[in-house]
Formats: sequence, C-alpha cells, structure tokens
Amino acid sequence: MQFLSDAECEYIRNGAKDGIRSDGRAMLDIRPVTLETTVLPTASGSARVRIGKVTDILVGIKPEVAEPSQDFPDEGIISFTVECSSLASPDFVGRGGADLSAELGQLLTRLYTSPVTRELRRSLSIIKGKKCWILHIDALVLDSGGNLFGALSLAVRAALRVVILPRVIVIPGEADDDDEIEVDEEEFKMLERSRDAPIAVTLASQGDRGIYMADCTSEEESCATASITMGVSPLGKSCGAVSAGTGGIDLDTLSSMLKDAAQLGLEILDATDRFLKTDIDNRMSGAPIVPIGFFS
Amino acid sequence: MEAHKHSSASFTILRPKRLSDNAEPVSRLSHVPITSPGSVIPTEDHSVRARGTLLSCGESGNVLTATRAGVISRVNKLVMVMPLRSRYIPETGDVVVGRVVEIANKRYKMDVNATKHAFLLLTAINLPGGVHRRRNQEDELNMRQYFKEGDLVSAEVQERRKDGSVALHTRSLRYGKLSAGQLVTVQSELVKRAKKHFHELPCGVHTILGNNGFIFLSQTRKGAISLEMRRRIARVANSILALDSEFIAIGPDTIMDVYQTSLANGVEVKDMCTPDVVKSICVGARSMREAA
Repeated sequence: MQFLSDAECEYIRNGAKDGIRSDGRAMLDIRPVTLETTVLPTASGSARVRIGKVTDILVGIKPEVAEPSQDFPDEGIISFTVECSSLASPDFVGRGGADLSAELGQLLTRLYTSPVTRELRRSLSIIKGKKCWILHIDALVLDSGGNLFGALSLAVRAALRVVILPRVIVIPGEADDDDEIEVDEEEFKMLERSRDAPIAVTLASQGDRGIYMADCTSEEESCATASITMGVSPLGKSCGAVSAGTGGIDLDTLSSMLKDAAQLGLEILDATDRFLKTDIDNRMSGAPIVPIGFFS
Repeated sequence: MEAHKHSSASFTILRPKRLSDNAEPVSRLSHVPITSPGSVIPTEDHSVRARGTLLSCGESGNVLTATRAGVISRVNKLVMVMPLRSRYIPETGDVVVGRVVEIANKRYKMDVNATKHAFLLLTAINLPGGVHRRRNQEDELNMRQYFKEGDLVSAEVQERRKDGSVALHTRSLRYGKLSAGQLVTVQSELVKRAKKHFHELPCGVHTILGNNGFIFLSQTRKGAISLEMRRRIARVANSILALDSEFIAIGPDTIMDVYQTSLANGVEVKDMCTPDVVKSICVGARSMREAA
C-alpha cells in the first residue's frame, strides 16, 4: 500500500466534498477499462483487464472433469487461485502478496458460491452426483493501481463468457450408476449461463458522511477509512458484500452506498455484455483469434 | 449531502490496439543514434567503453555491443549508451520532490525514485521561521516535528557520494514540505534539467517539476481551493500524464499547450486519458519539441 502525506489525504478528502477527484472524475466515474478476451492460447478461456493504464489482471480458465462435492451433487465446481505478482508492487515480493491473494480469492469464491450463480454451477454438471466440470480459474495480478476487486471480477467474468468446454457425451450403462462419459475433443460448446456471473463493485468512503467514491486509485484507497465491496448479479441482485478498512460508515450512507453499488454494477455489466458480444460471436464461430496481448 | 448524487456514472471499455495500428511513418528521429541490447556499436580505434556497453568477440575481432536500449552518446573517445527509460539518476543541483520513508539517525530517508533512497540530513534543512537549530539530542528527538513519514518534500541534490548515496538539502526558502496539492509521477527522463523548476502556470496552478519525475501541483494563491481550481489542477495533472504516455519532454510550455488544446477541443478532464484523445491533444506539444 502506498502511503501518503496528511496534506495529500486532505486534498483528496476536500476534493471529494466538492465532488471532484484528482483525475477530474466525478465520484462514481470509473476509469477507462481496457479489456481483451482469449489472450492465452493454452487456456480454454482467458481475459486481460486493465483499468486506467495501471491495474492489470490476467485470468485463465482450465476445465477438468471431476466428481462433484457431496453437498451439491448436481453442481459443478469453480475454484479460484489468485496470485499477486511481485512485479505489481514491492509489497508483494516474497510472501507479501499472500494475504491479499487469499482475500481476493475468498471474495471470488464467495461470489461464485452465492445463490445467484447456482444455475451457472448447475450447467457444469455432467452426471448428477458422479461427474461434473471443475473450472480452475487462475488470476494473476500483474499491476495494482486500485480497484483490484472490480478489475478481478470483471476479468473473471469476461473469461467465463468466452470459455469453451469440450462436448461431453454420456453413454448410458446397463445399471443406473455405470453411465460413462466420453469427451469429444473436436466439438466445443460455450458456457451459456456465464451471463449470470456477477461482478464486484467497491465503494470507498474517506470518512465524510454521505461521500464515497467508486474505482479508487491507489492513492485514494490509501486514504479511505472504510470501503464496501458488493457483488452484483445481472438481475441487480446483491450476492455478498464485504467491508474493509478501520473506519465506520453510518447507516444512511451505507444504504445509499449499497443502492449505488447495485446501480453501478448493473451499468458495468450492461456495458461489458455489449462489448463482449463480438468476442462471443467470434468464439462461437470457431475462427482463429489472434490476440494482441502484451504488444499493445 | 444529496448534492453529489449522480444520475449516471461514466464507464467506457476499450479494446487494446495493435502496436502496428498506430505506428507512425518510420523515423523522424533517424539522426539520433539509437541502439538495442546486443547490437554492435560502430567505434573507431582506441574507443573507451563506458556504461551500457560490452566488449564481446565478433567475427572480426572484438566489437563493442550495447547492453541496453538507448541513445549512443560519445564524449571524445568515451562511448556509452544512455538508457531511454531508467530510474532517476541524481546529479548535483537537481531539484527533486521526494517522499520521506524513514527517519533515521539525524537524517530523513527519502524516496526519490532512484535506485537507492536519498538522505536529507537534519543539518541540511532550514527550520520553519528560520530559527537556528540547537545541535543537541533533544533536537534530534523532535525530528518528526519538521517532516514525518509520508510527507512530500521538495529539495535539491547536494551531492552524490562516492558510495552511490545521495545527499539532499532544503537550505533555501523555495524548498520544504509540500502541502495542499497532488503528486503526479512521470518518467524522470522527461523532466529536463532547467534553470527554473518552480512554475506558476497561467491557469493559476503552481507546479514543481522534480527532475526525478515527481511533479507536485498546487494552487498559486494561498487559502482554500475552489472547485474551479481543482478542475484546473486535475486538467494540468492529466495533461502531464498525457505527455508522459506520449513520451514528450515535460516543461511549462508543453503542459500549457496540451492544456489549451484539450480546452479548445472541448475535452472533459476525465476523458483526457483515453489513448485516442491523448494522441490528439499532444500533437501541438510534439511538434513543439521536434522543432526544438
């Protein structure tokens, strides 16, 4: 975490009171996002998200056939691994990023185990109680410049939107429980229910009543006293909220923050879905995609 | 408190651009000797190699090759490669903006974007009000009264010691703790050494162009900062960042040119960081620097 002088914090706080931030944005504006999908040829689905030329996240998805968990026999499994590259910040060198990685992974797990993503998980089931897809979602934080939660959830969602799974044929066996499966390596299908995937919106407060901002830069984050991260599903439903920071938020502010987070989340989801339409179409058509990747 | 409610937030998604898409017709800089790691540097006999070069075996005897990307610079027989991008390399007399990271024995350790932290000795600062420092232990214990961790301080490089450490001083009224403003970080190569590093821009924004790439913006006037002033400071900050991403040298002239162009084109402050806009508002500044 970057540390600021009191004078800089005060400048940011006073600016927030006037409704303007140090880069000229209004309180709920989000920096321009750069998004590319299918950047990794070896992953089944991948995406890279950059926010405001700073925060940089790469996500890759690898599917595997496994047994579903006992508690949810008709659901597939989505597992997350987040790693903070030590390139992103000197704080992440060695074990420094471990805490943050765990925190980020936990939030994603929370979003993707909530009831709103139940249909998505169910679509990963192959044979109830016997076989399902497990999606290993690996995220790498290449650079951090604030709003990691937002960027990460956006990247995961974008990767899920373009993920392709091999077609699986269930061969019925003689008895009920010796059905077999055959993985067809030629034909692929996309994950239709991936549109249910939520995203996270973080709003941070600098300690002043009724004033909070979205998509904080790292400077703004380091002088925030409290923040709320909320998962928003495409139906505008909340799927888990996490608070961070040492400060408090009063009730009025909290309720308006949650309302704004949901609203903002819907706008982001709407914009990304419109943006990803061509990516999804390309992927469906099966045409080879030449990623731009890191040469931009 | 409902005053800051917004009907709709702005959210834009961009597609990354292929580098070849915005490549320019090659080489208006063909007269500048640029090299990359591993390339052979043409030399005359008896050249002396300096940093950024390596003597390696070629097919016809030893040749000088570059170890980094940059501009070949020659001083008499001395051949070196000056990197295009590097951390800040301090020189005596540079104006820098630094951040106090640690308070140590009689000195402040400062982050100046160099490979090492610079230090500011307690004996090298001017105390507020110009009082004379009493050199005793009590005084050393009170060091946090002047600067504490995280504070931004403008200073001058006093000397570069032989062991590579850098000493700063603030023994002038110009230097000292910075307040009520924001810091913009750019590549240090873009801030040229000049006679003047403290500028009052015509739009009422005060800038300190630190040679280390830390630029501090505040308002010229004393007192509370108005909303309009904040907008101006933000516009100046975004102008500087635009120049940084276009790799154009940063000075008061280029900053103001980008500032005015963005105003004339009706670009809103927050929209000044998308690549296309950055390109369009930097055209004037670029031609300004090319002419020079």
